[in-house]
Amino acid sequence: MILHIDMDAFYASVEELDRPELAGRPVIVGGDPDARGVVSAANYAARRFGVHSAMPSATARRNCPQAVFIRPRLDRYAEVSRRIRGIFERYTPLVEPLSLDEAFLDVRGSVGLFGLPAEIGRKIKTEIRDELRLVASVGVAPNKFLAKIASDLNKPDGFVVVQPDRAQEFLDPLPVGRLWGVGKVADRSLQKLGVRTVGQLRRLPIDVLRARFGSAGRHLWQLAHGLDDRTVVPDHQAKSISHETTFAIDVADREVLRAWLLELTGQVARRLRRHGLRGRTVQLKVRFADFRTITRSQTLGEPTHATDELWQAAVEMLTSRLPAAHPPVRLLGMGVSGLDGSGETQRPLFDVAGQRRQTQLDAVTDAIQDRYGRSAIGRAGAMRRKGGSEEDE
Amino acid sequence: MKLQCEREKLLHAFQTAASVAPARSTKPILQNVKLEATEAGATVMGTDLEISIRIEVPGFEISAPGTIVLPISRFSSILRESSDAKLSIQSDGRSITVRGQQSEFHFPSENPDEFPTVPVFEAEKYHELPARFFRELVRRTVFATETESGRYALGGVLLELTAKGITGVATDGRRLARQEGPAKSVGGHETGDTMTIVPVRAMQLIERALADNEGDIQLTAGPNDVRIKSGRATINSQLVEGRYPKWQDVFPRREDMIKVELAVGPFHAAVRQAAIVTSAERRGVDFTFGEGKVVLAGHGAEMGESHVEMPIAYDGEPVAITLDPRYVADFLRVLDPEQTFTMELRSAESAGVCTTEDGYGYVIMPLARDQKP
Repeated sequence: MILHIDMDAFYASVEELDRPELAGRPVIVGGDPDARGVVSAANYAARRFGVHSAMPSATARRNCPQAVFIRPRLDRYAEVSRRIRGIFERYTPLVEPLSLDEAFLDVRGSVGLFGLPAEIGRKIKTEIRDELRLVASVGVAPNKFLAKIASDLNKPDGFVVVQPDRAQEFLDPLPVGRLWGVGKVADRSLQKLGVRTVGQLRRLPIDVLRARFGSAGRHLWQLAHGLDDRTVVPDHQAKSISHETTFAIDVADREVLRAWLLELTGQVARRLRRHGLRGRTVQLKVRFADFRTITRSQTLGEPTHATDELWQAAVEMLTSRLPAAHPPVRLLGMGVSGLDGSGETQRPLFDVAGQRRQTQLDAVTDAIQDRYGRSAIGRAGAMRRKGGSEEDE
Repeated sequence: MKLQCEREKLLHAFQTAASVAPARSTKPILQNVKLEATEAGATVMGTDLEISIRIEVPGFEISAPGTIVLPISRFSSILRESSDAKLSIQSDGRSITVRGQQSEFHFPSENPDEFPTVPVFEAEKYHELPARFFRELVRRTVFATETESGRYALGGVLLELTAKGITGVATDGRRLARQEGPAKSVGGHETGDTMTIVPVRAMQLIERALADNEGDIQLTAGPNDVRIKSGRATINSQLVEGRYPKWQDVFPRREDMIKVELAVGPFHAAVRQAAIVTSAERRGVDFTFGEGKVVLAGHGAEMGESHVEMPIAYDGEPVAITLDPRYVADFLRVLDPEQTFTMELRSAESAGVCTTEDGYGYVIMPLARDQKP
């Protein structure tokens, strides 16, 4: 069984925790409303006013003028995230972090030691509440896809268990919009077919889905049947390392996308360095508002974990390898594959890109961030336009 | 046009000319080889607009001069499948007839005027050098080029022609091969500040076209192209655009380096053995020179370990360096196994320099290993 653990309004909750006077008030964590900033996270009091992440901060202020605006303190969130991860690792080494506030856990091997998966889920939820005074929603299910839906179902403070023999019963009444990747456009398209629930979708022949959604049709069909064979991959065994973020509202501004991409690249690079890995292939993933997803990849001459080299490749793909005109972006992801853990690097004959200096810069940046937190130092481009990094949903 | 040719001779020239033609093209005319027959003789030509070749073919009896274009796949099949010593070729401008003793082919032909111009060698300023030496230069450099990255300039061989001779350089940014040698400058021909970067494909075509030339070749470089005449063949190639890195800088000052003389054959065998346990994951082989021997050690993690020793005439301070064995083998492979070369080293961090007595130099950068935290 797989656990999906998702922290409720994570950034905003950490802020409430650190500043008790905020309790009960709408809290918005994000960039400057006067400088085209973007909302990183909002607590539930603010969400009631229609505020959600990736919304321009200016719009959020208009919707909810009484809200307290806070600049993200990623260092602090990362620190809390490490403590949460420490709790997970009491129960299983198979932890796959998706972002600072979300992770999959494979607990099949832990049952003999700690009890049934649902009991483990309960214990983790309780320990997070008692030790960190934070609220997590937990989904317990036979696979990742079902676990993720389950954790989302009764948010906040949710706890949903899906027994293997009752997966279909669990899925069928849900609206199709709950399925991964079904955005507004696909949702409308399905509604035209008379499909509103997963159960109705499941009864459609796969050919109809293929005709309408192409290769994504098969994926939809599998999800509707509760099928998902992806395993939980801890960082150190990963074949690729990636970060992605789903925007609550679609983003059309290229500068905002660039800023998010820079943040994602920095996180991926740092994870590579922490695990002593280098990657050869850089991948960019973009899902548009109309549910089309494209990936672009670029293979480097030499594997690297240097932020700058990964960034060069990633931004090149973002600026020149997307369709000239495209719908707004729903999801942005950046990943690195072709991982090399040998610790061997070919020295270059010509130090054209100043690679040696970059390596030193990365080492210094890592040291500062380890000591003072992630927002102690960063790239100017990532600070200018956006508030935070991961989605807090 | 009406003529008779010796099939074997035409087949050889036709196939070389056809090898230049593009596999796919928006211009169908390029999928032909042009045959031009004048009182002076017959010439075949092929081009893909970047590289072109013209070859004079002996053994023609020309009864009526003219020019035709021959479709590559059909005509080369005829040349290959026929067993006749001689074939006659005739054209009325619209269709072509090929006749052997007991066979006859007709096929339509395209307009030869559409075929791009294939330049002839008319230069008054050029370099002249033995074909055999130029072939060696090509073989010893092209393997070190980088054709896959975005650094286009590294996708060719840099030729530098001076009053004294010729230098060919190729690198992929990790190792660099350089061959130099004497060549006669005629009419004061020099490349000077122009970057004469010849695409790999053109270099390989030149090597093939030079295969049976034991004489000299003439080579002239312009700002945008290079032209080479070898016996009956003339090859023209556009140059690769871009700045070539300052390659002279990678040859380190060598006063403080240790110097080891090595025999190509045995050293190549030792490198191949040590590399058996290396993998894409762990490529490096540690080379330690000192105490009268060189020790090669491979650590391939789950692939296992290797340890190979070879006696050498050096017993000074030991020097160790980690190298990618593929890059070492690339260099050894183009040398005569009976030959010797000199390897010079300073430390694990700086380049190793290999040189031979016949003007060949090879610089190879080491692999670095992360320090264990």
